Amino acid sequence: MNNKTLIFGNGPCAHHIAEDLLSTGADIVIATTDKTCDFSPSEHSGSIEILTDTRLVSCHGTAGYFRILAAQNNNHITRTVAGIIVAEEDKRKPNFSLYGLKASSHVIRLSRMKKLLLDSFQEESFLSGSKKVVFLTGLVKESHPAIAEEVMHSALRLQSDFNLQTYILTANLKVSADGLEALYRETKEAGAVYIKFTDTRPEIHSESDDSVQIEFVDEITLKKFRLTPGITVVDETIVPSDYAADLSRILGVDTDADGFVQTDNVHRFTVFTNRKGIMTAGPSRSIQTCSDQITDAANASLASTELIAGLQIVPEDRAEIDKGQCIRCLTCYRLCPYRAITLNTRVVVEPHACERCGICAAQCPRGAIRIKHLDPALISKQMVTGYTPQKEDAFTPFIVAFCCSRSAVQARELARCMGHELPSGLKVIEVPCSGSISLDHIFAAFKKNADGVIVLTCHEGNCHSERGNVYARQTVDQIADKFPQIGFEKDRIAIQTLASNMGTEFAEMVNRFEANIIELGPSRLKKL
Amino acid sequence: MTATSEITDLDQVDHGRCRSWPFLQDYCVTCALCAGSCPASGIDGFDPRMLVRMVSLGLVEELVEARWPWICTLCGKCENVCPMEIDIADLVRKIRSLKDREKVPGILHKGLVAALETGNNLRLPREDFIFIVEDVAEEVAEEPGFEGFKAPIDKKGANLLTTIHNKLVNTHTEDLKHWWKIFHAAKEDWTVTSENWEGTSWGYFTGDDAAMKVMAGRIVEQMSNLEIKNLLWPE
Repeated sequence: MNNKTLIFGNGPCAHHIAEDLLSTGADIVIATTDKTCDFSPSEHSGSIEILTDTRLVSCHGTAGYFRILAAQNNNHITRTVAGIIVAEEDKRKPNFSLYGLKASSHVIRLSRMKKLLLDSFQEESFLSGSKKVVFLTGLVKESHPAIAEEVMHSALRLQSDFNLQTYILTANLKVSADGLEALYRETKEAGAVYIKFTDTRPEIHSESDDSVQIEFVDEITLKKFRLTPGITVVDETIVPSDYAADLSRILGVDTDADGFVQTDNVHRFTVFTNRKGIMTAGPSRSIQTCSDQITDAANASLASTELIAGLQIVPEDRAEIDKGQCIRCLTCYRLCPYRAITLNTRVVVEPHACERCGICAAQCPRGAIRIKHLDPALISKQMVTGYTPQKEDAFTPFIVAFCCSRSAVQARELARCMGHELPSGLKVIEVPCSGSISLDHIFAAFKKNADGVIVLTCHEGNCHSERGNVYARQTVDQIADKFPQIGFEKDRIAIQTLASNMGTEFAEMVNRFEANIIELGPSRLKKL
Repeated sequence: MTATSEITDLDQVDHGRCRSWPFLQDYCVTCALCAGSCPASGIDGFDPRMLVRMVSLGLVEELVEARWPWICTLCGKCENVCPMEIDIADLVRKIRSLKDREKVPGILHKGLVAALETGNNLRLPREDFIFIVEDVAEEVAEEPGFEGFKAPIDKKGANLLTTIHNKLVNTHTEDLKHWWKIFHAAKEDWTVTSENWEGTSWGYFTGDDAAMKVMAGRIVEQMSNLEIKNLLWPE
């Protein structure tokens, strides 16, 4: 096992991460689809390999031992690394059509303006004279601080270095990021004029000679103005790059609704993904301002360093597949949210990647997967601990609550601390993740004379295993659907979501469930 | 307020005209906290936010021409709430200072000219002023507990010099007694002056810094002449 970290990317964030890691003495590999990479680190003790014109083909293995296959020119190359960081740049879609404009010599996109300001040759002619520059941003769709930052930086340079009068036409100016309020003031001091639109919008006309004319009402003075800019700059919409989408697919990393290489799951904070050993930072993780990217780079290098250090210790009590029982149906391989199952000659759970969520064990059709302390038989024994049979005249329901360790168990503790009354017949069974709750677990509860079973999981989107709570819901729904067919009341089983700080809601849920069960009366299975 | 159909070409407007002014008006984010807290907002078209905006854009002539910037009482609530710390009240004064003095609304400038020429806004002669003061002092002396009361005028070496609002020697002479009874009960060693006694400095209101300087200077000069160390200027 080596200690190398592979960084996908060639932008400022990727370079920051590389610089950071090298300074700690780490060994890194940079892989980019760009033909050239001008990253030149300062003094460092670690080793660095730069792969240009390189595109990922496949990735096998697990944290500590990822086997990469990539295409470089017309060759295939392989590398073995301990950790991976996806730090690609974003893709920009120019918003010409949103404003009814087309690209021309007078109408350009924000990225082009940025480039012009960097390129010392072209700026002379294009940015000379006394023409006015107008920025159109956030007037149709909401903008973003990352875009506002670039608009304001450009305006500042145009005013200070080129003495061009700049107008920024916007609906809401997004300044909720580091340094943007100060930047706003700087642009104002330099002479930039902001026109903010709340109830109206400017009328933007494109003349036959490609020049632009803008008429609008300034909503503060209620005066009508006409503006004829020499240059019109339209803003852009930021999306993940196509290659980032490829990378997440090949690496088996969950993406969010927009395709960024990290879901909105609170457990992924800061730079983590569903796969141990694979992290993401910078514009591929989310829409980011400059200071966001610097923070991300620091977090990524920190995470990578901790990962490498942690690989020394092999975790215990992970899921284990009984090779005698396994029929290679590959259900576990498909379901594992952490991609912790690998296929060689045998189907094997990788201890470093396994998070003990229990989904594989719950769903294996052969029951061939065991996780210590999560045996249905063991849990079944737990259920009767502390259970006292009730008197004839008083019906106190025996309620089994399967509680996820990350939410419901903590909510119950909070409920206790807050002094909430809980049903006296309540038995809480703690599970690491609600995904580990199988049909066997639930049937065991009813066989042990539970009058009702309630399953409490994390909120949708916040499950550490991303889908554990979804599987739990499917399992409960399956049973609830079948119960009436066998003459059992479907309301004896329920499932709800909550968070670890919802002590009051925990009490409400279990008390309300108890009230329902009291109405239904004791379970008929008890008489058997 | 409805928008006019007239269109102003921004090529004709110079946004940098007021950039050197020290009031931070360029920082305005048009949040309208000023307009929201202003007690005169909306009266006769007064709008502090619009005033700041027009200065930022460089549309100064229209502001100086208009009457509505004179509605402001300079109470300062706008400055209190402004998140960008813009000196809005000072900005109103600045706009006012740019208007031709003959066009200053109402009696404000006329009263100020009177004060500059005679030492008080009413052009009240010195003898008349002294007569009124002594007359009111006699009435005070008739009240129980105030026997022998006298109102000091031009008393050299007194501890406190106080100015007088012109209405107190015109239509509201009774209110003089409140001040004087307090001084008497506190055993204060006070005095007024027979000339340049005016406390209502309308130069502050009309944006006339030069006039303010003159009136303040006169008071200071009197303090120096009469060797008085403390000043009460309740305006």
